Amino acid sequence: MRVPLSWLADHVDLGGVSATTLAERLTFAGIEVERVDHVGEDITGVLTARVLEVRRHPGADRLALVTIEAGGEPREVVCGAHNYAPGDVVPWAAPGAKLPGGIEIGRRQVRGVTSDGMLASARELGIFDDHSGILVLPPDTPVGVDLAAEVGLGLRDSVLDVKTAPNRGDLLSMRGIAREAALVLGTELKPLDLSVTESGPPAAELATVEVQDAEGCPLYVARVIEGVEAMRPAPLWMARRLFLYGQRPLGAVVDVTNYLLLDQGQPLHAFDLDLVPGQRIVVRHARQGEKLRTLDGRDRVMDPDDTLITAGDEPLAIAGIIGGETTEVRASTRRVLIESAHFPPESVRRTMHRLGISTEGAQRWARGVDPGGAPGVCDQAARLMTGLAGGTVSGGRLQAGPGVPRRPAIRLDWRRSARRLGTTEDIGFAADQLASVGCEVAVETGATLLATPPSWRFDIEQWADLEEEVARRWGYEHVPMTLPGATGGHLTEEQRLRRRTRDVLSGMGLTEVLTYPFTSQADLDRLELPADDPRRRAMRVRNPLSEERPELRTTMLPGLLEVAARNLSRGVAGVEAYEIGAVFLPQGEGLLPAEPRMLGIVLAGRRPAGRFDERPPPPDFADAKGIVEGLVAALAVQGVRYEAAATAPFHPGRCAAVRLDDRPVGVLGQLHPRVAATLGLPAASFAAELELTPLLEEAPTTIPAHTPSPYPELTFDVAFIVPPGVTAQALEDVLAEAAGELLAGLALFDAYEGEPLPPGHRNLAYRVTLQAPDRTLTDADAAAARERMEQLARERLGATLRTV
Amino acid sequence: MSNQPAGPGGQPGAEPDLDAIVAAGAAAIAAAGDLEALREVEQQHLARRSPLGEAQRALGAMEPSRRREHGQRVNQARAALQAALSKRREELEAARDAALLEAERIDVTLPGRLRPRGRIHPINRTIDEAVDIFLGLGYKVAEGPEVETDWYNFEALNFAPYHPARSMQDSLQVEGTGPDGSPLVLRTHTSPVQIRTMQAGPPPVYVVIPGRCYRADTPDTTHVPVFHQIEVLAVDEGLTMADLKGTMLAFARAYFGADRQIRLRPSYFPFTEPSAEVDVSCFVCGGRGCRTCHQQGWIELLGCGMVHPNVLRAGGYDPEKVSGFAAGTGMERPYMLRSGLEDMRILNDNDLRWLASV
Repeated sequence: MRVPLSWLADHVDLGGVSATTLAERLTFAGIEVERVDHVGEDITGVLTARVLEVRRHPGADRLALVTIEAGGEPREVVCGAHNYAPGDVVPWAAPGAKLPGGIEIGRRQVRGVTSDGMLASARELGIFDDHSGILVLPPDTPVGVDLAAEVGLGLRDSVLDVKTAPNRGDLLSMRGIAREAALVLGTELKPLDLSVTESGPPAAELATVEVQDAEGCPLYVARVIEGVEAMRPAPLWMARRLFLYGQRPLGAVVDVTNYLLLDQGQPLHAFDLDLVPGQRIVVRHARQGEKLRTLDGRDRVMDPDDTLITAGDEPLAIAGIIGGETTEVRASTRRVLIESAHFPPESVRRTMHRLGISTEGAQRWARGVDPGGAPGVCDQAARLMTGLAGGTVSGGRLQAGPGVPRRPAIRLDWRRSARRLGTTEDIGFAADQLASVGCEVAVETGATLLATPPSWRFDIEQWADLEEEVARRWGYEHVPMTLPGATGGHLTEEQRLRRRTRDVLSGMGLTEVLTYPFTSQADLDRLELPADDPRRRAMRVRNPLSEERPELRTTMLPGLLEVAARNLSRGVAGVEAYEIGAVFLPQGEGLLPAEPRMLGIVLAGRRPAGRFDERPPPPDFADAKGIVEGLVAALAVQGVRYEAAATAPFHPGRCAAVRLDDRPVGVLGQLHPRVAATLGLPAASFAAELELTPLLEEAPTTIPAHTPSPYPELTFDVAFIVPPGVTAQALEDVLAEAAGELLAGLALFDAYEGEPLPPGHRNLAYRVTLQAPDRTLTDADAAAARERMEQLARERLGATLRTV
Repeated sequence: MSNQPAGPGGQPGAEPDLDAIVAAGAAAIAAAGDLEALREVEQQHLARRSPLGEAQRALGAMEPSRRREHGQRVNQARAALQAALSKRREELEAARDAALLEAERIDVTLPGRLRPRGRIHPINRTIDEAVDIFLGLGYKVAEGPEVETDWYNFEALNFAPYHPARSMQDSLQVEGTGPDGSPLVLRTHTSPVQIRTMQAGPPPVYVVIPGRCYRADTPDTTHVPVFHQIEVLAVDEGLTMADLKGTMLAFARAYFGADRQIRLRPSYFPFTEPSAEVDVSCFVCGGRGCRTCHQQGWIELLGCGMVHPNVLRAGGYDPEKVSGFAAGTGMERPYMLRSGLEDMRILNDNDLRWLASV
């Protein structure tokens, strides 16, 4: 809410306080002033001048030659507009004057005549948005004075930008801000002029009002004015103030409703009474499917929850939200019914939300409008409208509805609250603070009080709200500082190991990325996931950030692969990245999705160069597997195995399922060449995706330490020729079984395929290390182990031991 | 050996001119340009067949009185030449070594061999740092789901349906409903974990809650729709606003430096009351006013307040018996403040060159 100090001063004596000081005091009382703008300082040298004579420019038909007087010698200016006459007071930018936007006015030749400065429009002065002619000032404006400094248009002003909390509807008006300003300044609000002069027939003879939906409208107040000229322009000061809120003048009647909304916070509505059938207002629930064309030209379909202002049958307006077209005030309007009602926040919010309309009025109703103000603002509106648009105010207010119930009193246990806040337990202190914000306070005992919040404070509903009121009046700066006695802070094992995982992966040279967890079926198409792949079942976002990715990810791969492709296209030589994050697996209606925490890894492009003069090759499968193995080793997880798999989006011959004991926990491999091509990635691109939690759960808190044997190790080499289809893992399992408990190490040092071996056969050579805890092993032990290995490998795998 | 120098004196039995032998040897030693030449000089001037060797051999033919006297002179001559030879050898060896090392000279300003230098994302580093501060203050880490029900994300936190406060946090809505029958949303803040933590066990509760959050915001230099929050929740008997303020000061000093001050400004959050914004005195200028603090001397750090009774109730706690405080902030902003980063969007860009540089 923008609050010009000149306007605020209508409601409270500011006593010369500077805008900055006021802003700070309000802010520390909970009314956050985000900014203070000093407007109009860029206007200098603009004086008020009287038009003496208007002639046609000798050299241009469309230009006028105007003689003016601004307290000194008469001057002559050339002007393109003609909306003024001798006697009018107009703004004159004298030579040397400055206008908003840094425009400097000089003395210049216009078609052979010297123009001594210029006459200015409202837009040129930044007063409001009107460039249809010269701004003609009110006839009683003094002549020869500085327009910005001395004419009360609020041209030079300080404007507070107040950020109002969504529960403080009472602050969405000058009056409301003034109430808080009076509190922080220790002054009183100025009284409102609620006088109204009535004449003509009683309003009750001209119109009737009736409330059938008392819940949606507990109070309906109206006045009737007759004989208005609705489209008379509002005075400059009002036009200027409306302009500050981005509102264009729409004629005096509507301008007054808009003005009072800003000034008092009470939304009003003006009906052309002659267009209301039967001059009868009935507030009732909408009927199912009932239609109304609203002022924005749209046809609205109503719901029985909505409250309508009707003429009994015909809908006229949606209560508190927007008026209808049929009864809109227009040039022909002579009789106006001014509505000043009360609509409770809950019902307005519901309808507003359903229809998706947010008007200035609806925003205020949704936050709560002071029901106590409705009759008075109705009177103000009647007085202002007839003052500006002519006509008379009919006798008496029309009123319907049971009235707004008084707010219940709230009990505050001040002893407890005082302790919570760290302030005095003196109940008189709390009572005074609450009374100052308008509560009716009754002290019950030494420790408790009953407070009835003022009608404008919809945010005070329970004791905590009272406590906050006292606290903010007291000042948070007075709250002392202590530390609670929390103990036992630590990470869970999983949280600790998750950090360790990031340390290990980053230590291996991978960079952590964080991608948006959104995906689409098109993303999964590019990965060539089959139609029945469980990763195809994704949850949808109703209002996605991007229509291209409306689903929650079920796999880390699309995001990571996109990161790889984008970085390579930006000229990064090699990508080694990982991400740890949730995927979202639907569990069925009525259930939250499972959110397993996944680790995704991607390798693409070149391996990192060791030295500046080396051109490293692209990564291979062993790089990808080495990262996973390295992580598993760092976490000391036992029982991880790799098995050939054929899972999209991987190369069917270069893909391994990662198993933890018997449970699948992930997959790693080279991307399928087609997928790589689709994604714009090199053929040698690798990825892995692991479910992190089961791995971390298997990681030992402390790695068991064994005592090294004092006896020497015994090493020998074995090489086997294995037939097609036998994996290294299978052979290792057999060799380990054969070596038994003495096995201390089994390391592959050669894998060969080709001549002179038969096609598909491989030679796998291992260095075997044996060690016993209690003796020195001999060649006989080695020979025995070798013999068992030969036998088991032959029997189980058809492998033959090569004689080395 | 054609270049064998003639023996001095020439005649056997005659006394050789030892001074001349030493002079000739010393000259040859000094003239030797490298170790090879020096070895040759040694052969010529100190070996058995050298004039000195001859002189020594000739001693055998001398009568004993002469032999002793003459032998002494021969030994002196040999010692002189040996010393000269050793000295020269050391010189030549040093020169040879120096030349060798010089030949091995490299440009030490060439880059080193790259060791793996991966990075943890700066946001996760920032979160860990903040979490560590609260671990030290005795808090545990609580986490919760990113897809939440409307009830946990809003209603339990005292955002009534359609309440204007909801427009403070535009949510991304997920199709479907949760176990409590309310619609699913991507959590707009980490605060639903407050409720889940309270529901999980009785007070006292001291937890720090980091996590990813989502809002339907248009990205700009200070907003991204997917971001990270950290918040703390403390619920115990007798917790006061002074405890909140003291905790905020402890955090501000741990994170921004021991000299920092804080101030609380009243504010509004549906889930706390009283609510406050915490400003910390600028860590760059110390409060005098600079670019980082926009000349204010203070930097808005986080939002906080005493847990609203409705929230305690939603968590299953009795607001008449326990009280609590909560505080929270996005993690992107503190990182930007300290790193000087001016555009938040780059944190979600995953540009590996940028990530490697920070």
